[in-house]
Amino acid sequence: MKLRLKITKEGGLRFISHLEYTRTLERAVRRAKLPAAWTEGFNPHMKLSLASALGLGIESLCEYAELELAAPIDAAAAAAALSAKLPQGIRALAADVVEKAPKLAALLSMASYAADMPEGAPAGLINSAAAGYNEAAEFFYDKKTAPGKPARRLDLKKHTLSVACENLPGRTRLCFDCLIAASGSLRANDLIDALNSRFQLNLDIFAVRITRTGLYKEGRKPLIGEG
Amino acid sequence: MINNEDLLARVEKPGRYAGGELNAIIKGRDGIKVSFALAFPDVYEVGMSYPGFKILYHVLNGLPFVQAERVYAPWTDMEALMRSKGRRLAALETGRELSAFDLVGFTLQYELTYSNIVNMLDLGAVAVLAAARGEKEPFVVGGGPCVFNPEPLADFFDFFIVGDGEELIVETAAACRDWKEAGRPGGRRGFLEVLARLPGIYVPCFYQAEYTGDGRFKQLTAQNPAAPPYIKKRAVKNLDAAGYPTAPVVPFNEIIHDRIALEVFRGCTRGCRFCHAGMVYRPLRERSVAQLKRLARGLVDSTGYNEISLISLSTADYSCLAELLADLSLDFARERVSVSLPSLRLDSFSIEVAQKVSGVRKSGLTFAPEAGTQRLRDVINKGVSEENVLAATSAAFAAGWSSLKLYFMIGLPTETFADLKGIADLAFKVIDAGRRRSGRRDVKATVSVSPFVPKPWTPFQWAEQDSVERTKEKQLYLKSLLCNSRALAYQYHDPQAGALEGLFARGDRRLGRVIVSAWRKGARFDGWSEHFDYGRWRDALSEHAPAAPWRRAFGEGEPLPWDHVRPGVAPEYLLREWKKALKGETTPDCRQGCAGCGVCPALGVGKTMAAR
Repeated sequence: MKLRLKITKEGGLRFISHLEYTRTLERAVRRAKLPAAWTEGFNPHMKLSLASALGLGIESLCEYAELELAAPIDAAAAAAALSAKLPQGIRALAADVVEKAPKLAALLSMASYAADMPEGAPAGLINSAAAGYNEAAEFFYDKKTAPGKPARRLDLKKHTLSVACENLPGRTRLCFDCLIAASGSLRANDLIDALNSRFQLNLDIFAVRITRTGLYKEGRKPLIGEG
Repeated sequence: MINNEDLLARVEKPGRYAGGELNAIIKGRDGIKVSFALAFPDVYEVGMSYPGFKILYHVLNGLPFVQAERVYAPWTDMEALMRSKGRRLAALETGRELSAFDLVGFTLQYELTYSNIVNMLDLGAVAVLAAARGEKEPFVVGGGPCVFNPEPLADFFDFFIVGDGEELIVETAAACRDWKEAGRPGGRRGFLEVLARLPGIYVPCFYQAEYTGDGRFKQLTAQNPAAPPYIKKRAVKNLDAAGYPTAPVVPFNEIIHDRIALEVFRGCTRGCRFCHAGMVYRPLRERSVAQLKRLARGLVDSTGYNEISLISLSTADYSCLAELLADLSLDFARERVSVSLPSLRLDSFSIEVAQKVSGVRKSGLTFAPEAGTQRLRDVINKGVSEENVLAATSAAFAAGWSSLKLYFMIGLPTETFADLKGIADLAFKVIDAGRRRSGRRDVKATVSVSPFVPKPWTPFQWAEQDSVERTKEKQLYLKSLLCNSRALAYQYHDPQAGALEGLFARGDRRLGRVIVSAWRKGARFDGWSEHFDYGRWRDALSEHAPAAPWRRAFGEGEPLPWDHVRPGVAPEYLLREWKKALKGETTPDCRQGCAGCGVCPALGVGKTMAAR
């Protein structure tokens, strides 16, 4: 029996690594005294896994974690107990109990992102960049890998069909979906970086605030029956 | 509220600067009369691992009129950004910059952090020199082990807290509140005079240093009626009654010691003659098993950590260790909380204990014979025989450990090349005995060798320190003896860093100018090999203290620059031990009988043992 959780990674927590986030969550599970299951052996590990790693600096309203249980519990009660022990920057938004299911990571089909451009970034240019991207049949991007290694060429259109542009008071927001495939998926930063260089937007990349807004299975189905 | 939020995406490990951690204490402004920054002069991961500040944070924030906050040295990438944008160093809790605090307290853990102290003051818009601070600026206070020779830092600090901080820091905060509420009578100087009358407080500007014609330190004399001739350290009588945090801040970022730190006892009874901590943290004060179990329960519940580290100078010497380990494993086995001992001694070490505490995780066993021959181990009063070393290490190999670490020092007083050869011989014997006892071929050991640095208030405070060249020569000789074995790895340390450490350990006030000069030349993070540049220091020294023969032996009757800051061990005892060392005579552990170090009568504090 597994407890499936929908949780967030917000504010200052966007600055901690995936591994540190996982350990932070594990410590909260311990403080909440949830009946976690453990691996066997001399160095037992809590059977806790996250659906998908999030890049450093990205916030999320939809991280999914699964905790294997050693004893049956009520999902709502467990989520409430955990919520009371979560640190600032993580909220539990939904919880469900699943009996048998493949690993979360194997279910994923798509992630949605919202990227807020820096204040004062050229709205007109950004709007036409989004339009230009949407019209292109293919959109190649040379992804930098490790220093000294050759860049990898990706066709972004295979991952992200279109980019929607919202003009909010004082800032521009780009919203897009990225397909998640076994062969690898696109990082939200790569898409912004590609638009920035192709359309000469001169954005301060570090000042773009990216939030993961959705994570789905089988196209666009939620991972937890939210209601 | 995140400090410099717009810069964090541009630096490595931005979590260092984000704050907002679990159990961080952020009070409203109501009723806060004193703001106190606990400033650690190194990077976040190091500073957050320091148990002393966990205690002081808990004690200070336990006072309703104090807001204590944390601040760490920004890494070089962050500093460059902050300076380019004119940002100031601020604390994590409320974002208050250093210059806006009432008190800024630095812990003095290690001599090579001194450049970071100056840098942090400057980044926090606090005048680097105490004499230049205006009425509105904070008081800068230092404490910790290096306070037993604070003289190289005298220019930068308004005052020092000598000894255990739990009680004295509360008295300091209360005095600050009273002085502020009374309308700051006498200004900065008025407050320092109040402080100087508190036992354990040292106000360096109330003393005048004199030097001889040939540039030696002559004496330090009190110039203010409030300033005592000697400052005796403060010691907490009963640790069970002292404050200990059960809800420490839990970082999001991985830190160096990312686990619960439970202080089992303070002080050490061994009397190793090179050991600064062993001399200045006396006397021995053990916590009771019942108290440790209470604290452990609270710590596990409030942090969610999965490991409790039992810390002290020599945890395996705890008088109720077996009982404590048995109880803790009973209490926490179901929750999968492991217990670890960071310091194991060769003679009190038992494999049973090691297996009990490490849950048979075969990692990280370290042994410290410190010297390669029995003669030299007697000189340093290590109290360990070759037999002890081989019995313990081969038992560890037999119990399944495949590698362990052996710590040695080079440059100890009376050392010859025969003693160096003894290090290699002992290392090979450890491997041979390990193979025989375990029946395995693949046993490995890392031989880690550090240059010895004479420290004040130890029996070796009079000793000569090896030059950089001599240390290098010895390191190469050892390398030639060890490099042919696949079972042995050899680690050694930069002798230049050791030279600088020795310079500050026994230096006097004239080094203040050297620190400022080296800092202006770019000295930062000198304890980190990637940032340490001896050249900066060499130049600063030749400009400001060219005649400093800091490595030299001190004469037995010679005035010592640190003589006024007293940890309680009697100078006569240290001299007696120094003379015994030179004759190769040992002194027994003070658990077995009083060696007459003078600490207990001087401080009015006795040995406290948990065992009845």
